[in-house]
Amino acid sequence: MRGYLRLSAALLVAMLVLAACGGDDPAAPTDNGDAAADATMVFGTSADPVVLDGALVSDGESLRAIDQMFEGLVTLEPGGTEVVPGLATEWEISEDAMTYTFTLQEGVTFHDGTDFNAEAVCFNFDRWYNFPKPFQQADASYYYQTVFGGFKGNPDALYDSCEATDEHTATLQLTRPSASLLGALALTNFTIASPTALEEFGADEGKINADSLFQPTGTFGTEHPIGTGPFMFEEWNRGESLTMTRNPDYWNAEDATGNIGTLIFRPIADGAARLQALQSGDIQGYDLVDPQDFETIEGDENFQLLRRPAFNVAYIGMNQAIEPLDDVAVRQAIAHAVDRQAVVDGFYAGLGEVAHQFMPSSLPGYADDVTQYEYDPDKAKQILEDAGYTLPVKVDFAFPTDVSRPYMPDPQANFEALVADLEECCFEVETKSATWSPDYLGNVDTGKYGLYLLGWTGDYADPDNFIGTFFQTAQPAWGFDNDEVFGCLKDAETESDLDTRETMYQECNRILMDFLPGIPYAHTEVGLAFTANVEGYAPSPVTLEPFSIVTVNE
Amino acid sequence: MLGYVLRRLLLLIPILFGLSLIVFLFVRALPGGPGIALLGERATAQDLQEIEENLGLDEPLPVQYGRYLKNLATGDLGTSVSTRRPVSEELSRRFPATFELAIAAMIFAIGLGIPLGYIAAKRYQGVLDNASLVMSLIGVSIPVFFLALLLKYVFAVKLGWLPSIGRINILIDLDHPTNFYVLDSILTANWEGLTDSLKHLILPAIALGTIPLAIIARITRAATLDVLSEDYVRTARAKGLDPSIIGRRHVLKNAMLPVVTVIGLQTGLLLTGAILTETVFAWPGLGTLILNAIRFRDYAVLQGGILFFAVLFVLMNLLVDISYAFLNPRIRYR
Amino acid sequence: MSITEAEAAQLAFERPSGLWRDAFERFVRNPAALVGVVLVLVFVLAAIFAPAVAPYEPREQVGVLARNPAGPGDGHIMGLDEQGRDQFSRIVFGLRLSLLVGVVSVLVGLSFGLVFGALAGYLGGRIDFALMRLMDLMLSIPGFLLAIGIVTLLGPGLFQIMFAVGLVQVPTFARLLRGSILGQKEGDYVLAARSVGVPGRRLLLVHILPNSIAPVIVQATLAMATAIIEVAALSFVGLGPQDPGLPELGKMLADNANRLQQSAHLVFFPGLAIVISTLGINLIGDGLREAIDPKLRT
Repeated sequence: MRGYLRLSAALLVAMLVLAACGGDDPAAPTDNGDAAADATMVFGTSADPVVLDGALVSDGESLRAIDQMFEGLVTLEPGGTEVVPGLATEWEISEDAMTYTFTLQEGVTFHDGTDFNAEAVCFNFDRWYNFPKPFQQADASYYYQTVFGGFKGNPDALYDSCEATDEHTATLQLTRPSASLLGALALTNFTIASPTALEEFGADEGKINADSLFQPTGTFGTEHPIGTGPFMFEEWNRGESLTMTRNPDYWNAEDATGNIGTLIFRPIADGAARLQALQSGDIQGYDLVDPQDFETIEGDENFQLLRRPAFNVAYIGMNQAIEPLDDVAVRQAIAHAVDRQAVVDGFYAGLGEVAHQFMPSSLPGYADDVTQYEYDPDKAKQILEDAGYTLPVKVDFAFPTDVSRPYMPDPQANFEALVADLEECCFEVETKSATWSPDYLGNVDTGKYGLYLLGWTGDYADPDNFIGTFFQTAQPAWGFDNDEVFGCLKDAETESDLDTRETMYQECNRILMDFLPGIPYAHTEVGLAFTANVEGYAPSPVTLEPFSIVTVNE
Repeated sequence: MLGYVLRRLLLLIPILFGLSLIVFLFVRALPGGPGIALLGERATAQDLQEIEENLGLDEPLPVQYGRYLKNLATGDLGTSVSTRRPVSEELSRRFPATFELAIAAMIFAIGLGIPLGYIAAKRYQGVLDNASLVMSLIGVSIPVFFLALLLKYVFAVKLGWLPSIGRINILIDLDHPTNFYVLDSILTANWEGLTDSLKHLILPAIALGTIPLAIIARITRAATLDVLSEDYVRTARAKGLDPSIIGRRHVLKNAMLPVVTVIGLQTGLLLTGAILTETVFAWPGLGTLILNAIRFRDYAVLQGGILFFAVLFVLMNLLVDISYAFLNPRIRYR
Repeated sequence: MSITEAEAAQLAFERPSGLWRDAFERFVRNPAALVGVVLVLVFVLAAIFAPAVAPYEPREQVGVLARNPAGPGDGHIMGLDEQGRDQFSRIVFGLRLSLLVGVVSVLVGLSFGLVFGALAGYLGGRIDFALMRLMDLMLSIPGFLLAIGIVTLLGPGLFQIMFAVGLVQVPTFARLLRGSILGQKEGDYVLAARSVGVPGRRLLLVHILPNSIAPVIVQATLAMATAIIEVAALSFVGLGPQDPGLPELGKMLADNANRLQQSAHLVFFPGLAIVISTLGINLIGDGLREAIDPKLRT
């Protein structure tokens, strides 16, 4: 036994010695930040990408990774929403807005050495249009369907054809006029991939399995995502890390001012764990900072907090198919009964502002003069009594568990505060909840809840992406059928003159805030954290954030 | 002996079938479907409908079960909703992480538990004995996730002595022939990898192993006390045998019997404790896999994960029973 | 059977109450067990008189909504939570809930387990075989996982997890009682009683069951402690009560785990409450075990 004890003691000492050897930190990049682009950056993301094929994804983390390795015809200026040239240097839109002619950048090659040219562009557009049946499922190609309306054989399809009129000129032909296509083409989902790689690695191989799940089976999106971007795919260790290396032959080296040679995305699901990883030096930056961590980061001189401009909206959804929400008086009363400012002040760490309509102020079409609903519980009581209701009025209210959204970092906190407001005023609330996906979302989408918490992060800088998506057609989640609303939005969407469009959307916003199908309550910036020695990161409203312009100093 | 083993192995078959049936029925009874998982807010009612139409749920239940069994036999456990990868791939990728953690926790629990229990028994009713009793009781009264949070907070966040998440520092270049990081480091002679992966193992292993430690220490103490008072020990001492020889040769071996049983039973505790511990330390193992599967209704993964755990548990119990029979010949003739 | 055991058996037959009196005396002389009783008594009293003990309502907002709520001090000995509620009050009510949860779960497990165990142990034969195989199947899945499975099936919620945790305990109680009954059935005093002509049912109820029940009481106490922790664990993984304002200790821990750095008091105090209440119950259970069968000396 004594011998055994000695062994245990030795092991214990060994463990303590190991723990003490915590000094040396291989995570800190040792680059000295000069012209040599060989700094290493480990960035904490919230989840693993699903697949690295832009046409097949809709989740933020896949898009973030794809943004580094692929490029589209156009892109957005870093940090903003203005469309600027990408792989196309200039473009021409015909009078009837049905023909788009792009002049392409010359001298660009894909990561596999093949040439980028008009043929490659058309190959990609044709590929999407001709997607086999399994790829047409909503969970596979959401963005293509939203922007282009449908695939081959579908009369609603916007795309007609693409022609490579010469090596560096590609012409897109549409089936009907579109004023907003250009902005949409900046989406990550329309980045151009190497045709050779697409074919060689079975990018169009996929199936729907017995659980109605779309499953890509080729290796393009998992091992060979070959684009033209500033970073190239190196290795993907699922659930642990995605490693990319700098593209030495990148065509736009003059804009790629950063010094990162190796870029690693590390998925860490929990916000507190991301903070801890930053503090322990395991990562040099991360996205989606929990509001309660802001003070910790700002108060520490080793770290910096950046803010992504607000491009989202959090709202209380109201399903008018469930009484008494079909009565506008009840909806108005709810709007007056809740103290939105308190929620924004309490749970958004100073990054939020109260929302007065369903889209952020940075978008054209935002109207400054919509009807306002100030916090006034007495007025709420009055409205209800005038409408003939006996207090308290019964409503049900649902919130999602197990989720944190950029526009709603802590759903439960928001929920509890809002319910408390409602009950203190004039309502009796039946609380409901479900896990975010698929239950909560499924219930919301099929109209099972009366009141519910939800929101939206914008994909591209167009009002259609916000209020058009919500209210242009009848949906069970909102439960109403209002031709004035539908008509206004449809007309505005198809209007090709941009100024008229803006005016029309402003009018739609006024109509909406009178009709009050829901109560928007917050727009929020999102926090990003970095070590103090990181420079040049440009937070973008639509999370189009290239790491090629980021410098890690010593 | 052989007969006993064979009998137990034969019993295994109906148990495994029973398990597969339970898990199958369980998953089929669950509400909701996957489909829109990745679309998030972008899903519409129409999308949901489209996805439901594609679900293969219209076949009669026995046919589905038959297909399920056939798939099981070929190793096809379905596809994960969140990653779109085969479930078997997810399981095999994450199993080494959990297994490594469990082994580390058991080494901690046994390595400290047995000597502690033994010493406490030898110094019966002394200070050390009472102290060990108290520690053991506290050990079984603490929820494992609370302990994990405390350990992480004190040693990783506040003191910074040990890393807080993951199995290894991303930047260390380590080849993974076996996906057991410690073993890999040894096999590829990667000193940096070895120290780093061991450092990452310490906190989760202590968190996971504390409750088994408490139980093993107590059982060892009890078993040792029992044996110490047995007649043959008193006889040996009266004969003048060196106490330490008595300790090793007689006491320990006979005390081991209940200890071995308990160690085997702890596997269940370890497996389920892993679910809670891994979450706290972002350990990429089966625990976090199952937890996420529950949260996001990833039924294929849940089904595969539960089945895997259960089979592992059954096999572990079988091993314990066999070794028990080996140690105690009287059992074999039951 | 050794001489002492035979004597004990005879004594038990002659004066069954004697066993209990001895046990009680041993229990009272055990310092650890008494500490446990004190702890549990404090919690039980706090639970019963919760409205009087707690300065505020558990759902009452007394402070501001804050993402980094204030810690102990300023009239709130355990600080506030992010909805501005007094944490001490929530913990008092939470303890009440936990004790209730522990009792109900164990009752569920006990009732099913005792019925199965008694039937299997006393009737034997095929019923015994079938019931025990069913118990084996339940035991072949790790307890926590089984509870998760049951709750996932039933849907999350407080009653669902109480039921699930209770159900998971059934095989243990069933086996225990069955083993105890089997052991007693062979006892000399039983043979003696039967040879004298005491009818079966009287034998079971008056003699066998009371003597078998002792280990079950011990197990029930320990099971309560386990139940409290398992319910907290299920809440931690999100399968617990869905009412966001409910002051359930495990849920409070889970909700605030990501605030550990800034508001450690929101994690520490609920966790401590769970540990101390469970410790108290475990001390009592241990004391009972030693009191009832000193030979075990564990």
